[in-house]
Parts: sequence; C-alpha cells; structure tokens
Amino acid sequence: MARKNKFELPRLDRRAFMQLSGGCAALSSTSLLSTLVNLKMTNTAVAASGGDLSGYKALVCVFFLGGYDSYNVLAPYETAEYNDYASARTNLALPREDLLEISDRSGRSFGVHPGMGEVRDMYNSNNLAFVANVGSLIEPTNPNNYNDVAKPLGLYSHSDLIQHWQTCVPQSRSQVTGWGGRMADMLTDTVNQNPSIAMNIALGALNTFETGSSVVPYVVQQSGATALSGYGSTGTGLNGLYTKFTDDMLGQQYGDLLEKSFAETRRLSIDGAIGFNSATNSVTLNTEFPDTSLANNLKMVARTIGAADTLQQSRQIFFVSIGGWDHHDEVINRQAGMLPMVSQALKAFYDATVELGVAADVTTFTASDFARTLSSNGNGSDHAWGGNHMVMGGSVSGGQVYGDYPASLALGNPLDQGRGRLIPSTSVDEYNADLACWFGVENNAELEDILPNIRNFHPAGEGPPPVGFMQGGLGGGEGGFIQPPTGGNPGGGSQGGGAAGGFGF
Amino acid sequence: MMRFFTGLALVFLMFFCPSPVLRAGTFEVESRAELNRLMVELRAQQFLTHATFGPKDTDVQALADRMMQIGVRRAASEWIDTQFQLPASTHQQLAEDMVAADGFETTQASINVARYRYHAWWHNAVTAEDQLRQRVAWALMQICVVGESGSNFNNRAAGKLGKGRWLGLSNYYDMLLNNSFNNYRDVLGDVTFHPIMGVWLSHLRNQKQDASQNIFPDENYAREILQLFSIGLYRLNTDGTFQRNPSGDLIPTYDNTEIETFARLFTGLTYNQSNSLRSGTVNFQEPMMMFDEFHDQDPKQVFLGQTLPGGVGGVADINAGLDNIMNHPSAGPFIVRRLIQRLVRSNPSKGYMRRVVRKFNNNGQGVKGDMKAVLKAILLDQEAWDGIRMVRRANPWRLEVTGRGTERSRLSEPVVLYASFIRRYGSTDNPNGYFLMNKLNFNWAQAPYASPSVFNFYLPDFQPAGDIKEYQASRRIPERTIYAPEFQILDGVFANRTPNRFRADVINEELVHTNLNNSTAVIRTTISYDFSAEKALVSDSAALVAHLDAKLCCGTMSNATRQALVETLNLTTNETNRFRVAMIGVLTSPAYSIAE
Repeated sequence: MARKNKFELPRLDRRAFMQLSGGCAALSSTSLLSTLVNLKMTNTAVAASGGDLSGYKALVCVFFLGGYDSYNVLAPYETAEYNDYASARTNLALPREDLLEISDRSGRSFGVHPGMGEVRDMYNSNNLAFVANVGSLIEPTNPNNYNDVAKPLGLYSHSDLIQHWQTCVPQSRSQVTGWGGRMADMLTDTVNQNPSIAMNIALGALNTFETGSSVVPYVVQQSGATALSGYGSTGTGLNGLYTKFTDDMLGQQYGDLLEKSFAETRRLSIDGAIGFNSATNSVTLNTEFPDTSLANNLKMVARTIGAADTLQQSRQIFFVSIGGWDHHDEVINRQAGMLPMVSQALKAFYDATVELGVAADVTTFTASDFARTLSSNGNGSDHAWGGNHMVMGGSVSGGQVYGDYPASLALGNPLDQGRGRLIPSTSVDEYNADLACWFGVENNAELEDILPNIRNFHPAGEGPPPVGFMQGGLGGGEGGFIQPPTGGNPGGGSQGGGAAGGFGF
Repeated sequence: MMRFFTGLALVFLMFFCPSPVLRAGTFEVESRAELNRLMVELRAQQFLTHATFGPKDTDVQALADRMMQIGVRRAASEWIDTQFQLPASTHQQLAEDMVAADGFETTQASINVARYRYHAWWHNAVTAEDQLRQRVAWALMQICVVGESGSNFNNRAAGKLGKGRWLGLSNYYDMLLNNSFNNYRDVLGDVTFHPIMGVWLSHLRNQKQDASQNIFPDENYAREILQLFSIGLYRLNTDGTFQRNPSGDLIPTYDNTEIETFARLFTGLTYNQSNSLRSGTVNFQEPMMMFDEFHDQDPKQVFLGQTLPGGVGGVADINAGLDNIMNHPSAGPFIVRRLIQRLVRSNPSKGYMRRVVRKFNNNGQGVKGDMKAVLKAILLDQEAWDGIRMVRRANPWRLEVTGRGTERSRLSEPVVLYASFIRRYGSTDNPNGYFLMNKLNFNWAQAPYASPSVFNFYLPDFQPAGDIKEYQASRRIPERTIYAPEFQILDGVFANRTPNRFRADVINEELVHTNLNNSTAVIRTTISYDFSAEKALVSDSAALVAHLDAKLCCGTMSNATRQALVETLNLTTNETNRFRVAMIGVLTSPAYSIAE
C-alpha cells in the first residue's frame, strides 16, 4: 500500500481541482492546487512573518441547519420595497406593522422579525450588523453573466450548500477541509499551546467548517467535556490497571489507519476532557442565559472563552449549530417560535462577553445552508440561495446593513432564478474574508489558503476587506475606527488587554 | 461457551512479533483438528458479524458445524437461504404487545409511550430469529432515512385508526423489513407512498403548480429521492468510480430542471381516508392516497430520454416515474455501495462493486433490483472474508490471524456493537422476556429512529481529518480514496462515553433501564450479563485474553496489545479486578471497534 506524501491531496481532489480550471477563468489550476497543497509550508511563513496574532480573539459561527428563511429575518420596510416583498411572499409575508423598524446609515428602513427585539436593540447600539443576500459563489455572478460563470455544485441541495458554506470550495463536493479548519492549520502553532485541545471547538458534533488537514475540532457538550470514567489512577486496583492498560494500548503503533485513527481519537478525548473541564469550571459567569439549547451551548462557549488563558489558546473558533430550519411547512409559525429563542440567546452571549471583558475580542456570525424561496409552496418555502446574516460583537461596526440588499424582492426581479431564489450579491468568501482578516490572517497568500476563490472577488494587498463590517477594516489594520466599541470594556478583560490588530487603546 | 477458545494458549514468540502494518494474533492449539475448527469458528463469527446484530455462541457453533460439513461459503449461503424463509419479526405489533403487557394503551399519557418504539427495536435486534432481515432493514433505514424529529412522530394522540401516532415510525420500519428481501423498486415505491416519508420530506399534501397563487410543487422529496435514495449526484460506473466527460469533469445525474420535473411528479398525495387533499386526520398506518385533481397530469421529461405521458392518474404516473429512476444506470452502484458499507466494509473495491452491481442489474433471470441476489452477492463475495487472513502453522499447531487493515476495515456502528454485546451476554428480567431497553443515545450519537436529518448519522463519504483523509489508496479502490463514515460520530464526547458505558456494564454486570409508568411510579427492566465463561479463565491471563480476542475481535487483536493486557492483569491477583480489566480493556480496544 503506497502511503502518499502527507501534504499531498488524495488523487480525487487533485483531479477535481484540475477540472476546475476549465470553468473558472480567474483561477488557474495550479494556484488553487498550490493554495491547498502548500498549506503546511505557509505555517512557517506565518510564524516567521509575525502576522498580527497578538492578543486574544474568538470567532463564533452560529449555523442554522436546514436553510433559514432569512428574508423574514430582515425584511424590507420602505413602502414600495415592502409591497414587492408582500407580493412575492403572499401568505408568507410578515405584516409590515409587526416588523421592528431599523434603518441603515443612508436612512433606508428595514424590518427585523417581530420576535427579535434583542437583535434590533443590539443593531441600534451598533454591536450587531446585517449582511444582505450572502451566498456561496465561485466567482462574481449576476443575471448578465449567469450562464457563463462557474457556479457551485449541487445548487439548492442541503448537503452541498452546507458543505460549501463550510469549505468555501463550492466547485468541489467533499474531501476538502473547512475554512475554519484551514485557518487553524495555519495559525495553531502560534496561537494554541495546548497539546490536546484544538483551538477549534464544536458544540455537539463534528463539522466540516472547523476540520482542517491537521486540526480536528474538539467537541464538547453544553455541560462540558465528558471524561473517561475511572481513568487517572495509579496502583493495582481496578482503575489503576484500567488506566495503565488504556495508556499502553492507545500508545501502540497501529498499521490499520482506522485503528490508528480510533486510538488517536480516544487518546485526545481522554486528555482533552480532563484539561478542558478543569479550565472551564474555574470560570464564573453571572450573566443569565435562557434555558434553551442554543443559549446553553453559547454559555459553554462563553465559559471556554473565559478559560482561554488556562487552555493556553489565544485564538479560538467555535461552531454552534441549531437545526430545524428546513421549513417546507409552517414557516411562519415555526420561525415565530424559533427566532425569539435565537435573539435572546445571542443577546445573552453578547452580555457574557461584556462581563468577561472580551466583547471586542469575540465576533459572532451566522451561517445557513441557503435562504428560502420567496414564493410560497402553500404554507412553507423551499430551498433557495442568497440570504441575510448577522455579525455581532464589540468590534463589529454595527448599526448597518452591509452588502447589497435587493432593491426589489418582487418575483422576476433581476436576481430571481425562479420562485424567488436570489443570486447572492455578496459571496460567502467576501463575508468570511472580513472575519478572517480581523482574526489575524493577512490579505496575501495566507487568505488565499483559507479562501481559495477569494481573488475572484477581492484583490490582495493593504486595501480594506471586501465587505467592511469590522471596525478598523477600512484602515487595513491601521486602527481606524468608524466608531468606538460600545457596550463592552475591551480593555478590562483577562485575555491580554482587549482587541488586537491595530486597535489603539 | 465456545468449545475451543477456553483451551487456547496464547504464545508470545518474539520472532513472530508483527511489523506495525500487520495485526497478527497467534492462537496455539493441540491438534490439526482443533486448528481447523478454530479457523471455521472465526469464519462463522466474521460472517455473522456482517449478517446479524452480532454472533451468539450457539449460532457460531451451529454454523461452524455446518461449515465443517459442507464448506465455509456453502454453509453461509445455506444460512442465508434459511433466513430468507423466516417470517418478519415486525416492530409495530411487538411495540403494541409490549404496551398492552404493561397495562397501557398506545395513546397513554404520562409514560412517554413512544419509548416502546426503542424497546421493540432493541428486543428484535437482540432476540429475533430473522436476524438477516433485521440487519438489512437497519441498513435500509440508513439509506431511506427518516427520523423522529418529524412533525407528530412522537405524538401519543390517536391517528386515524385509533393508534398512537408514534407507532408510525415503527410502521415505516416494518415496511422496510417486509421489503428487505423483495426488490429495491418495492422499497422505493413503499417509501414514496409511506405517510411518514410524506411528512418527513413534505410531499404529503404537495400540490401541482398554481401560478396564480405563486404556488409551486414542493421540491424536497424529488431532490432527496434522487440524491440519497436512488442515484446520487454524479453518474457512476458499475465499479463505483465516477463517470467523467472528455475534459475529466464529473457528470451530474440531473440538474434543477429534473428536480422541478420530479417535484411535479410527487403531487396529489395525502393521508389515507382523507376527504380532500388538505383536510383529513393524521394516518401513519396506511399508504398515502392520491387526489388526481391535485396531481400534475402534464407530460414529464424524465431520465434516459423518456417522457411520462401523464393523464394516467397520479398513482400510475408516480409508479412510472419510480420505474424510470430505478432504470437509471447509477442506481445499482449507488445503492450497492451503501449496502456494502452498512453490512461489510467502508471501502468496497472496484471488483467487489462490479460483481455485486452485476447482480443488482440482473439477478440471472433478467430482474433488476432483486435484494436476495444482491445480499447473497454482498455477503458471500471474497471481500466479505478477505479482511481477515488466517494462516495455519505446525510445530506447535497454531493459527495466525491477521486483520488486513486500512482498506478492508470499518468502524462498527455503535448501536450494532452494543446489540452484539447484549446478544452475547445479556438476559432480561421482564416476565414476558422483553428487552425493554432505552434509547441509550447518551452513550453514542446513534439510536434507532434518531437520525438528525435525512443525511443519516454520518455521510457515506465522510473522512476523518488526518491519516485517512491523506491516505492514497491502492488502485483497487474506486478513485483511490477511502472513507470511514462512522468516524463522523466518534467525537471527543462519545469517544469517552462509549467506553464508560461498557465499563459500567461490566462492573455492575447489569444495566437497569428505568422508565416512568405514570407520573409517580417507576418501571424497571434489568438486563443482566453472564460473564461466567470469562470468569472461569480468570486465573490464566493469557488464556483469558486469547479467549476474549477470539470471541469479541475475531482474533484480530495484535500480539502487542494482547501482551500489554496480559502484563497488566499479572500485576494483581485480585480475580474480580483481573476479570474486569480484561473485559473492559477488550471492549474498549481498537480491535473490538474496528471490524473486518
């Protein structure tokens, strides 16, 4: 059995990537290949170049599994725009008088879902922003070039679009790592000194977003990590012998890669749980969280952020998912029940980061498979494409709707691919590039390793990030705030003195 | 108790110590006859690990006896034929009987009556005689996936026929059981018309286009039946590789045009005994009925250049559409790969795929989709055996057993592994003999009826990060890439919780399954474990470890691991602890979880 070079991709990947060059003019096969294959080499480069990895930062991805109907999360409010929305959505339109009115910096009004008062409040206090009509793309796509550009594989299917959001390689189906995983591969040597707990931490289950070539997400439950019972004793009693044999067995060499992976997973799980629980249990948190699954998960995220020093991690990436958004039926009633829960959980989490003194160091962003059709299938909506998302945190330049919210949602509008499936006007790559650059990735070959298609949307260099929703983003790291962070005390935390990356406190 | 394993001695001949690539364990016996018998017993175990919820000692002995008489493969084939004849041990009636035996109704309040669904599932996995059918139904449940998060699926309220709605999922499972030895086209048909699927993927009450209302057919079921239940996203060759166009690109099996077409096909269905499409009581007990006026009767351009003429009535139209899907050349390789992954190994070779797909496409009598032919081809293929190599040696008589590793392994599904543990060791104190076991999803991220989405607990193409993802397979493996789906649910939580379950079970020698029988009282079922065979060997560490390796790992535990365990046991003379450490040690070892 030929064991291939560790840093080579499996053959399928290489072929799959080779084929991309045909459909993707701006990207040569070699550039895409090299970005992924040479990932490991860039590790050294990051450490050597001293990319800005000072201080503490965390990214928190809240993923709405199933495709959330985000044009009812952020709806038009201007009269004419609302009327187009209502005509497209028919029985799925929220009444205008129920919407929570907000306005962007140009004075254009939007309506937040009536169950999301906390989100509206955080928007108004500039700690939360919306990014409009985001979706997976390979290259800029619009009604005029639609038939000529490469488009993501398997459009409108859950499994593909979930993967695309997480991999940022939508021209490939599987086998590629997630962009959070690649970011961790690149940064982990510098920012994570913990031998057994990955800087990528998942609440509940493994996910592609956080999976890298070498970094495997560390999965915890909302109650913390599960330890191995009876492990950790010495001597010749039951637990002492069990501990000894477990160590011996897991320390052996395994030629069967499945056995090897199994043994490694067990080893990491045993060591990780012990360290993790010890660290997070020592964090006190007075902020009250609602007793919902999402809120409890975010509470554990907050505790883990509070324990970052003990865990020897100066960068952490979290993945929290919440299922049940595939509302082919009863979308109005179900979202009315679920969105308030989301809104309250986000608010509690933000408050907890304030309490921990890290509000400006933690950025939370939402993701979902896709938005849903604007038109109704009777009492639900089907799979679509571009949708609206939220970014939250003390370093977000909030109180703004970023991207390009469509001027008209009427069916047949220029972006409409049928039934109100909208071509995204901002790519997932652009959205993520703002986050990655804030996190400490430089807008050069580094960012191309994380987001292989980014050059189709955004040039390398010192200019501002593509969307611009992070403070300081306009200054390209030169520290130019649009406004100072509110609601938090970024300098008072235990995480190394507040925001890094050119924020001149 | 297995006859020969008790007499085994473990030898540690350092010059036999394998390179790390091999997983050889050596078993020394007294005679050539014992050697042959041991080899056949291990083959019987290996086969029953694929074809059942786990080998029981009596079944291993019976099959080994027959293998000695007529040969390994012929005896296995005969065993399959016998299984084909057994009637289905169904789940819904069993659940209803269990409810009645406890003095309840299926609509009972305050007892979480839906839990009887798990009780019935475990009881049949552990005790049913029709093990092959049970195991195949469990495989089909992970292809045509439904899960209890569907609307009303846990509801105790009465449905149309007066039974608790929660029984709908058991009814769906019985449908799969009843089709396990039929034709895969029957599976597709009965799945499509089952109201549980209708709710789960929302083609129930799906209606034809009404442009004036901006109402279009729901595309959910159309998309998933093609992507997950039948042909997949990309055209496949019979050997499991992808077809490619001249420039090397994968070729999609369909685009959104076909999705929209098939969405039009799956229209007009609703609960049986309804008066109209949109009104009628929940009925999870009977196939959905058709209201032709809501079915799209226009012609439909489907696969293979065919057109469904329409105007034939909704049911006939759907059946013609399902025939069209079934005739797609990708159906064979797509379904066969999934069945092999559930039953035998994660990465069937191109040859294995080709051999089984040939049977799928033609059972020898010109019939496509014959499950009996497909199952025999899967379970009797050389690749169902070649994951374990056995070499007989003389002076002294000994058997070297080698797990052949990476491309020939899989991580066992947690619930199958636990069911096999219960089948080996468990008995119930329930007066009716019922194994009233709970869902147990605290211990592993898998449970009957608990798939979080239509994508099952794990994806067929999941690769854990690290070695498996980076491994370049040999040319015999399609696309030279290997997968290990079950690793998707082996995370930092469950990698500790599953060993914790085994540890507690071994120490307590029982597991008490506790449930409410009304708001105040508690009902308990104790599953007790009989470890007497292991305890009898406790004074001889090497014999105990060899016994456990043969019985639980098909002999594939490495000599190095065995030696480490023997040395650990020899540190104490406390027999209770020797037994417990040996038992827990093997149950938590890679060799137990990674199977060939």
